Amino acid sequence: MIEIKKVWREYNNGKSVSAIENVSLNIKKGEIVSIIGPSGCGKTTLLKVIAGLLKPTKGNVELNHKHLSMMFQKSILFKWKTVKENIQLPFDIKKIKKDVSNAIELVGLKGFENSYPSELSGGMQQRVALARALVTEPELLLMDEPFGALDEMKRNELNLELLRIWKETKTTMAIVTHSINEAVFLSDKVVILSDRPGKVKEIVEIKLPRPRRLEQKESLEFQRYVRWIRERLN
Amino acid sequence: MDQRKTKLKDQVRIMGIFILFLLGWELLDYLFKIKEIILPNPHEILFAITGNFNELVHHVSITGTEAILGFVLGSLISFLIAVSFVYSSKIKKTMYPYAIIIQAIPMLVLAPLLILWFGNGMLSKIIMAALVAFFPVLVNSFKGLSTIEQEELDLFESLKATKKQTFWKLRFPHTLKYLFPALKVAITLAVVGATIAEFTGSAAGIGHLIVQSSYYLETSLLFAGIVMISLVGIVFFYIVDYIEKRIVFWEKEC
Repeated sequence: MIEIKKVWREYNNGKSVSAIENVSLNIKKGEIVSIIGPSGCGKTTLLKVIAGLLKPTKGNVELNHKHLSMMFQKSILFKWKTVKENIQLPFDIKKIKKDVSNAIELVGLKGFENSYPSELSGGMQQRVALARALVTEPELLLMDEPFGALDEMKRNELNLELLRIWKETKTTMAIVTHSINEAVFLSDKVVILSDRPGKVKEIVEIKLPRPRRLEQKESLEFQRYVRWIRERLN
Repeated sequence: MDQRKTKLKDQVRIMGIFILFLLGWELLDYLFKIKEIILPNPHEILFAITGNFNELVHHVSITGTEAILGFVLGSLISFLIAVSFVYSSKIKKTMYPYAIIIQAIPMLVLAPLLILWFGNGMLSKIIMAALVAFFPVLVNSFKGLSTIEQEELDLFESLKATKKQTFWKLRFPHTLKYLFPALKVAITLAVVGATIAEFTGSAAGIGHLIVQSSYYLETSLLFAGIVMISLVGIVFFYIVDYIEKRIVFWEKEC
């Protein structure tokens, strides 16, 4: 369980500006939570605070998860390393040697171990980034618009992949996204942030049955969630 | 196969232009009967090269050594300074403006001063070569080291990488594609720097040979010197270019 208690975060560029204000949020173990809101509302700041990359100015984050991984909109792969070597990065940094073939198989990259990132499509590159994030078997996976740079088809494909992986690993996930559709499709909870400074406007529980399938997007229930969130965002 | 054919054709054309140039030169020289001390023929230059080959190699090796040592010294120091700029914004803010201003000074004007201070041996030439190699490498290394994206740093921070790991695994490899074009400029400039310093005052080296042969109106030998030092410049350039292609293999030209 992650408890985010009344967290404030200010930036100091001459005068202090708050990025997020009084954000409280609980994420249960094994839950998928999306964070959605207008551009520049502090979604990324919130994610970085959870990750411990930024310290909250006020409030605190209680994290029982032993280790976490991050994934970003850009795949951030090293062009000078093969797929396999890129996925090994977390172990390289810890100076341990460990087999990564499980992670490669998990994200469906078998056969591409020795390819270079430049030989892969954008979607495949994000799969490599996902494998790199999962290779340490994190209890918490934080993702900042992980599929934001992909087209709709690729995004759907990777959404399904992510849910399949989640079913296997039961990793807790927090996802920052711009897409209401994606948020509803993936999540147990959608956190709507207000415009800058980001405050929690509403937390919407998504009670769609799992395993989720793309056809569900056409259901009335799904559409109702999407409309509800869209109205809260405007 | 087809691609290889067109490549071969291109190369034939490139060589053809050069041969035509030499033939035209021979022809004009023959028609207008230009004196050897003003403009020797290509074949006279060739004879000057073959006839004085050992002497030329001796001088070229001196200039080449000066250029390489200066190049290594200059690039190494400027790279280390670029690293200090990245890790200390205080150093960067105070020193970088100077680096930009000093860069505008034509370094070659310092040659007489360097001869005065460091004598007319190799040391003054090495320092001259280092000075001219310094700035292109400084500017590009700094650019490469400092254009790391926030997300990349976040990734490394989330993986709990040490500063040293972030440098060697992230910043340094990222810098290589900026560094090598600067190194190619620097090695060429280093040859120029060493030669010019030799013009100013030296007892050996290709610059010395060129100046001497101009005094004695041995124009063919002068040209031979020019050809030899040009070859050295070209060879050095392609060595760095080759190393770049081996190391920075992921930046393929389209």
